[in-house]
Amino acid sequence: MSEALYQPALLAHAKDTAHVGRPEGASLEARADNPLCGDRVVLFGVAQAGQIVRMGHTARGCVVCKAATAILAARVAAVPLNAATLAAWHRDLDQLLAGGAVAVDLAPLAPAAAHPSRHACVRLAAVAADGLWSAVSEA
Amino acid sequence: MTTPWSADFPFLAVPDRLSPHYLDNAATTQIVRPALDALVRAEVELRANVHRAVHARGEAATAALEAARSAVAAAFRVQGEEIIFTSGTTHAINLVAYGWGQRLQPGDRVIVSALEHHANLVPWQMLAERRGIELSVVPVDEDGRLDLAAFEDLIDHQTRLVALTHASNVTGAVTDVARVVAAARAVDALVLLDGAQMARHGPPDLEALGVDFYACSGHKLFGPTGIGVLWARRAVLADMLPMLGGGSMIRRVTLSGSTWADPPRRFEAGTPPIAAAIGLGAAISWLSVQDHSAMAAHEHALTERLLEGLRQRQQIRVLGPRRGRIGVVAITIEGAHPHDIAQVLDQHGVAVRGGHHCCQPLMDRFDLDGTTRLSLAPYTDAADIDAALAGIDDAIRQLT
Repeated sequence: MSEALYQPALLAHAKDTAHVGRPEGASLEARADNPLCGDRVVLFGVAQAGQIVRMGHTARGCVVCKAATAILAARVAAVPLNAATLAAWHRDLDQLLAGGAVAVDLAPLAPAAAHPSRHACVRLAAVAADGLWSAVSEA
Repeated sequence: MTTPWSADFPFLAVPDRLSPHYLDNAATTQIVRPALDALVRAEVELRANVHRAVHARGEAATAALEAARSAVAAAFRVQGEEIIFTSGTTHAINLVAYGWGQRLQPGDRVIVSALEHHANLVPWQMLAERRGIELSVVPVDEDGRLDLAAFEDLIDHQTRLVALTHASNVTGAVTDVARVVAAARAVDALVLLDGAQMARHGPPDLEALGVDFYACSGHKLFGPTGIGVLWARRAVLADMLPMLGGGSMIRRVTLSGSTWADPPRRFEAGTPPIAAAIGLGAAISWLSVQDHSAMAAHEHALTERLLEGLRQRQQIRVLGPRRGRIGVVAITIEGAHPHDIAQVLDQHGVAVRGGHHCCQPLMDRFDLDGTTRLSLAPYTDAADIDAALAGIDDAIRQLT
């Protein structure tokens, strides 16, 4: 229910500045826009050995969009982004938004599953991540 | 709490209705009972195709559709053959941009404004690309009104059309149509008004307004969805090209070519939205007999109640002028995103709209990602406004 959407954990992720901005050495950039609301996520990546080892971001959007972006950036800080981890991110989002199993780090986003109009907010960073991964593949 | 118009709106009688405080009327108003009744009757008692059938049901459907056209024309004080049923304002303006605009040449100019809904901007951008014409933009002042002094400097003898909103769907500002028409007439330019937001405040007197095109939508004036109106002067329509080809819009078809029917059927290819058009006729007939002064006073009083409440909350910025506005109020709250604000208001049963409202150039003008918009209707009451203000307080608490 919407009562639970704006939990402290979600708000904290939305305000998390740990990975905001372009990291040093970032040569890759990808952007995703939501044409319905105008929200925008830009991801910056540092590539090494065919994967992204560091990622920064700027997100102009709602709490849900910003929090999802911050959680993705935290994941990449722990485990590099590659085809397998990107697929896992998408799979985790699919499950969460279908009301299924929720990965531990995605728990603050779980209430958004009840709001189909917010699903695009949850996924916007993933769209940008797809672009970033395409840039790695093309590099 | 009820208003003098509450009894005419069936949604208010639904127990435990969704979004009980409905303040998203700039996007879609609720349907008025005569329109709903007409819609149901058309689908149950009159459902048949129009203009061709010789059977009684088809004849009755045709008569009802044409009666709806006449009702709209009477309310707008124009001729029935000048009323074209469209799917809505967007379709209506595209029809003009294609059917009238296709005759423009490089060197011709169309003037729009930074206040426009995308529906009255993108079709002209597409036309500019197709025909190589110039598209000029009237700026917007700090109060969210058209800068008409700048408009008067901009308009010249190359200007063929001025396409402006009658009232903004974001700032609520009402356009000074007389001033626009006077400037346009001085250079023999035509004037199109996007009436999507204004028409529900009482059917426009098109004779008095003196414009050449008017577009509006049924779902924004208490009618069905999927229906709208384009009005244009008979002589202008006669010179326009059809946008869609097919059944009903032809005079004669051979394998080597086709000729077009006279307006309005030239612009209504295929089976029209018959029941929706009949419902729209009923909605406009209902609207035309209401006490428009009382409606305006009701909306003004509640808009002032809302604005006063907003002024008491420091983090809030209100777009739009103090005077010369309709009950459409767009706000921003420092540190909170419009979608999040709208979501918190939804927890309070208050339906509002968050986002750019299909006005991205206007958002750019004010350096905003979006706004939260509250929009009123005759069935809005003080409890709706107070619920919205309570929800806004909660949004400030939760999000900032």
